[in-house]
Amino acid sequence: MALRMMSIVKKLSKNLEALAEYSTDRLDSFFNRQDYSIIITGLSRSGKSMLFTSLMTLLREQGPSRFDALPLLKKLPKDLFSTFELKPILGEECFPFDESLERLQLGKWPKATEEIYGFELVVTLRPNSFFSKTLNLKDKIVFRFYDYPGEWLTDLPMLDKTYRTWSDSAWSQQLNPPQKQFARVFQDYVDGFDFHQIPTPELIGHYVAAFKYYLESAKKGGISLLQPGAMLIDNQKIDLIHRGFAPLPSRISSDPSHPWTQCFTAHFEDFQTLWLIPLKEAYFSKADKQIILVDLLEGLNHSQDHLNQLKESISNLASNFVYAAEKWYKPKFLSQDEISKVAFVATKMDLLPPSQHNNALALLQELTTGVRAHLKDQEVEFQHFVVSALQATNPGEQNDSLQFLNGYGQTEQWEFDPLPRSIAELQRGEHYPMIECQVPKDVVNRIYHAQGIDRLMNYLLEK
Amino acid sequence: MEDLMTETYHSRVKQKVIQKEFQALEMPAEEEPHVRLNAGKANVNLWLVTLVLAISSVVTFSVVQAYLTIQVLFTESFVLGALLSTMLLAFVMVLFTLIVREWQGLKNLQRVSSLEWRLQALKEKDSKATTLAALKNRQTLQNGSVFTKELYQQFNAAIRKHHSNVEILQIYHDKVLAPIQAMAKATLKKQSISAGIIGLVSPNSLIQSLGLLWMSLRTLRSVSLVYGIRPHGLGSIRLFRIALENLAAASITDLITDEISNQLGGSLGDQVLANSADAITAGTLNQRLGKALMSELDNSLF
Repeated sequence: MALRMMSIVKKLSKNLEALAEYSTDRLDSFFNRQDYSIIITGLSRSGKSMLFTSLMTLLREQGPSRFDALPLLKKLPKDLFSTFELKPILGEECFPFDESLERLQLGKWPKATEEIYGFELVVTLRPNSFFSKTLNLKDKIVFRFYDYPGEWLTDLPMLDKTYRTWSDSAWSQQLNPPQKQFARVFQDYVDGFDFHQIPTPELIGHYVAAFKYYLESAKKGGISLLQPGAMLIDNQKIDLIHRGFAPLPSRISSDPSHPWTQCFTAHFEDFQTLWLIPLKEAYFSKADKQIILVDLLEGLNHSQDHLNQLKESISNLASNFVYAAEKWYKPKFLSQDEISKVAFVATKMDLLPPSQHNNALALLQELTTGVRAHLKDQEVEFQHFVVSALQATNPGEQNDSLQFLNGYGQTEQWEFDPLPRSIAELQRGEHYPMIECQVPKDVVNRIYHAQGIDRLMNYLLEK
Repeated sequence: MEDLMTETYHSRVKQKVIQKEFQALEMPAEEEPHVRLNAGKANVNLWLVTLVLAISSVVTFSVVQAYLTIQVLFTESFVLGALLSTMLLAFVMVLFTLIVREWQGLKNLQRVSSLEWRLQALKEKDSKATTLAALKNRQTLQNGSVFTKELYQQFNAAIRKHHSNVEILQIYHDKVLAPIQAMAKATLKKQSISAGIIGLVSPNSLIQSLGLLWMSLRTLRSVSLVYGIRPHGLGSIRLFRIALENLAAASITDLITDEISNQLGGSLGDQVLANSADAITAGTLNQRLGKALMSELDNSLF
């Protein structure tokens, strides 16, 4: 009996202790925690994963290091930095930070993201006022991020289209530059295709595979507006070959009773309901701040048409997010799914001489004209930034030049003509090749020389 | 296709391979620790100097006065003079010993607070020799109790030559730091219960205040002993401030509960209720004091 009583008392006290601990944690998070849900919107190859790796390295070292690698991050001053933690968001995979950093140290750039990662960066600050010191209050700044394949983002605008409107616009894109040169093979295939055949899984597979080949070669050629981007990466959740779809010539797509139109319409609607809607709701509708990453260099590497298309892609993306100005009287919990602040960021700026950064910023401002018009109507705050997640190049001998290690381990020096400040300034037939450098051996040190990340994060943290 | 494009397009970049080694970037410059405006001698507290001088003057004058008295006494009675001079000598020696002990206590606490190598730094430096030397230094500092001596003995016995730096630190954590923390928590719990009992049974405020002061000093001493560091009186002066704050808080609570008890009629039941509130306050305040000391010592050791 006595033993039983003892066991009951022990159990009770254990439960009470657990309850007390849980309550303390909840109270702690209620009083001492500031959450920032930031969605990083970047097309494929815009440098999302490298930016995450760099941000985590910098935040992790901010406390213990004796140098301040983020001096402009006034909202999280180094003096007050206590701890830094990377945690997965419940039910999501955590960003593979260690793996990513290890790859860099082995001389490889981070792998392209092919799945979704949800994670929190938790920074704990020491109390800095007499009041908070006395009460031992610690501030926790929590950044919630999702990293995802950029190709998925390109597909979101398809939610507002029917199969026919999507097919017609995809078809017309293929007939115009810059896609035209990559679409030739697919166009020839369609010209020789017999649409009188009943769409069997095998025939659908062939037709979609020909379209996929076009998408892949266009992606290699630097085209940013390719739909469905989901077709470009392995997707376990939806079969985009046998249950896939592709644009049809308008003589077929304009006939709703045509078996191919009916088949692709059904597949297109499946893609919307089974893939796009859940994706948007789960990952793209839970943010109060947005970073739009733009890879200007990819556009400059190709042509004026590529830049124009990049501008179009950015404008299309904006229509898929809910924007609203932050108001003091609006309760936070009601407006947490509305984006109140947007940062437009030109990435990989270490691949341009610093003397050209102002021109790059002006060009970025032109590329965002369409989105900004939309944001102004919603009274949403925005700003433009030029950022490099690391400093992979060294200054060259001239003001407009840079040095870097090429793929053969040789040092190259590139001297840049002044960058265009607008799309129109880039003459037809001209381009700025993009530096493809090796990962430098002192890569971690070079992350400490990252540019603009502190300015960007400070902007997002400011009220 | 890309090659085709590169040929067609006119490049706005002049590219060349140069015969020059690609230079590594320098690490960002380290920041110097903040230079204090009132560094060195200017930082000495004038009030403290005045107090020490006043006490020393009183003690020295008394000792000199006693010496002169004894000198006169020797001419009148040798036995009485010898007895008093022995007592005076004993007093001076004990006083000197006390001062030395207090000084050592203060130095100990300062040395622990400014341990050169924190565990994270030792991990990052990744040098076995540095880690072992730093842990030896900690052992010397923490030899104030049998408990810590035994823990360090267990740790030393567990270390093998093939252990890596990280493994040594892991063993140090498991064999020394974790048991110290667990024991400190258990000791504090016991002391807080005792403080609570004093709060419950004290018949009046004076006895309660004296009892709690005694318990606070005991808590400081017991918890320090778990860490193997004897802070002594002067060494624990910072913590003594918390003890005094606790005492003030306990007295205020006592006043309030007594007043409530009087308002309710002052029956035995009301008194028990008031004393129960005092007991909870005393226990909680004692916990606060112990945790402040633990946090002070943990910050230095971890």
